[in-house]
Amino acid sequence: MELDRLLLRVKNPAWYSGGELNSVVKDKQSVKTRFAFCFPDLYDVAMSHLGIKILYDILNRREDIWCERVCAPAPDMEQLMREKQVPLFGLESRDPIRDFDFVAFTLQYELSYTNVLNMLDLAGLPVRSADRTQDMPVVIAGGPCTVNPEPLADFVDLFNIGEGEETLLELVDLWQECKGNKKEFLEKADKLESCYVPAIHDRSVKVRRRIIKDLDKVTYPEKLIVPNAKVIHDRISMEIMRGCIRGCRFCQAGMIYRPFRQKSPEIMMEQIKKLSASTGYDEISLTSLSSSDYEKLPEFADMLLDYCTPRKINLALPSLRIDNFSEELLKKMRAVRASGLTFAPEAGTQRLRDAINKNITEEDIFEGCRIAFTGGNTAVKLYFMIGLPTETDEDILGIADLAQRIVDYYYQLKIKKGKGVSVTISLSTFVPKPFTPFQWEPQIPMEEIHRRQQLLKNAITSRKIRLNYHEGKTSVLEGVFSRGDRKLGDLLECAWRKGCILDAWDEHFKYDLWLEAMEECGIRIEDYAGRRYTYDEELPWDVVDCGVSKAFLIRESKLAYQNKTSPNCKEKCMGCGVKSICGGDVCDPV
Amino acid sequence: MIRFEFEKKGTAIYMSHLDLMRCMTRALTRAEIPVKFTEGFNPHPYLVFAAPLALGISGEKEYFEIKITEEMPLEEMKDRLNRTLPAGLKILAVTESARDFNDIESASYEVFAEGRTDADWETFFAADTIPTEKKTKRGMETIDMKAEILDCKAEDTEGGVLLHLHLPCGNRRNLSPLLVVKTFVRDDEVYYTAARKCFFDKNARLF
Ligand code: SF4
Repeated sequence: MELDRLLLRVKNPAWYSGGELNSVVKDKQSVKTRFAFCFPDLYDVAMSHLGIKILYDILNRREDIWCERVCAPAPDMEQLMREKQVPLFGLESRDPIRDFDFVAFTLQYELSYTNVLNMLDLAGLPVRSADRTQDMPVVIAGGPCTVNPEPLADFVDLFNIGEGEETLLELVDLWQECKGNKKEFLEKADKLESCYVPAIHDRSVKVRRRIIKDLDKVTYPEKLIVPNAKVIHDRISMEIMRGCIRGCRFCQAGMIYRPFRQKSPEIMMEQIKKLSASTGYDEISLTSLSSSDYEKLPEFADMLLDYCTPRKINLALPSLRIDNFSEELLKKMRAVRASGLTFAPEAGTQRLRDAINKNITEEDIFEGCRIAFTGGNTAVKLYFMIGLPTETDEDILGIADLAQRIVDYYYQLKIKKGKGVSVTISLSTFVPKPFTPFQWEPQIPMEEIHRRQQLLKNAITSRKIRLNYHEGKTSVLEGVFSRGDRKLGDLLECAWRKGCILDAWDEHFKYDLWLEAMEECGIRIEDYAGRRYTYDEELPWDVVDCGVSKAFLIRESKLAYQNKTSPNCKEKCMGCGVKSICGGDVCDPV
Repeated sequence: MIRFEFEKKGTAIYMSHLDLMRCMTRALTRAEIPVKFTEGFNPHPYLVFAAPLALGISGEKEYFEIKITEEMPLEEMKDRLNRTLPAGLKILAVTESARDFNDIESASYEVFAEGRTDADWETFFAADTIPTEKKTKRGMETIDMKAEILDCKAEDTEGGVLLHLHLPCGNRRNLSPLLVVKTFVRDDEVYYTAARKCFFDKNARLF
């Protein structure tokens, strides 16, 4: 009841109230292990995330486990919680999570790290592992950012690297076996293949990323929590595959989710029917890194459309690639509802697209636009990146030039429609990420980000072209942390104590405080984000074996400097090394 | 038209009117009730609520209506929907609709303000006018709240004062009980609750 006294005073009470359809409430006396699944960001972001829903379901299917959701409160709620001494609680039971067995964080992006500290603190737990006692929960972390666990190594007891569907249950089993003896548990867990207990781990022993071999066999939720308030992605997400065959050299997801594994259309249709019946959602989104690489897309699309059209369900197909963009598919999608057209050329010239191994040609782009324009679409969104290795001003001007030529092309096609064409350029800044061929590359400094943004801005003359970009400060911070080492722990704590939280939100991001904290901790941006790491130095994330070998990454990095592309995994296996973690029998994308 | 009488309590009070519409749309879909959809590019179900209920207020006898495409027993619709509603929402009755929602002119509310007394209210309400800032479509406007309150009784109860408010409710005139209680207590720290009990037509007859 104490909570209800606060809720009418905050802007989004439904973020904290619980009670959503399909949320799982159990009798706490009848469960053995209580698990707090923490998403270190606001509710509407958390509840848009598929991973949390999958793992929530898997854990709660076990009768002896009660998994609850925990999100970062918005500042208005946080202030009241601190004032009234309401400790961070699980949404389902409203019980304080400091009494749970596990407090687990999913690390999806570096800019959520301060929220991890803040949530531990709000829970009434010391932020550093070393300061937490035996009777306090085990703090674990998973998610893509854990491929470089070092920046959070002082705060997290145990990192679980890779796909969690099987390992989380194994960890709970081990916990129950150890009868809640945290020390014993951590010692034993550290011996597991995918687990890393930074306080005791022997760095010569590599931690191997775990993968699910057969996605058709792994549990997929039949129910999804339907939030009471609107969240960013309020729909059914169907993961159609994992991994990517493309090997874009800047893309971490393309490397750390290897190998390429697809789900079968029949199994997915079964799952979709159940999800649709249990949620009543009117939109289904197919999620993957590159939907058009899904081999059975045409037949799966037909099955989906047969199901969705009479039910008035929209189909969203993000990450459709421009090069095998299917005209037919687009037409069929329109029968339901086309969801905007986006293409990701990433670079403005063919030279740079080759260097980053984005295998798109200009013909592909224009062909994609032709199909889009003649199909009645007039708005095209293009994603580009600045600061990519080997980028010159010519490449940046190439972005403006390409956008202009798309505008011109629209008028050449002489489509008689009232609305004019609009091309939106969405510009991000390159951040070097672990386990990519560009992991050694420096990020361009702040002033240079601004100069290049201005260069592009000035090169755009048409009013039909819109340019969207961020100032770049958050990218710089991301650059510091993505390749960070354990020394960043002090910086993180210092910045958080100064009041840095919710760094992924423009309105909450406090760059000045971050700079102040760096000054105090003696951390310089140029030693992290701005530094060229060398091929032969020991990298902070060398303790993790993600599957892709360093030799492969070096080969790819060198090819980039020769502007040479590599074939995709379907065309030719480049021997990335991932077979070592999947026993050779999974990686068969051909 | 089929009319559903429902209650909105517990954690459901934190749903805004828009949230509730979205929620009911999905619930009708899950319950496989044959709701009629509008034509056009972006079809949505024929679903009309008696009066929006602001976030934070509970409702004891709320209504919405739908059009259906094929017959289904009323009891069955009720059961089906009740099986799939989130916590705090419950269908109380399903009937053929009898009256137009536009007939609704006012509603009665029960508002509890912690730590305040009957006497506090009397003092507050004794003023000739009670100017209050109200958000309207045209921006913030100052209204005389006292003139808007149709009727009010206050009684002391355990821990605070219970107000029985009769307030205009509809498109033409509307006054939120939350505005009344906030103006009354003028303190963020004071805890309050509000519940809508029932609706009245222009002749002050129960709707
Ligand atoms: S092993 Fe070969 S086919 Fe498999 S992901 Fe690596 S490069 Fe691609």
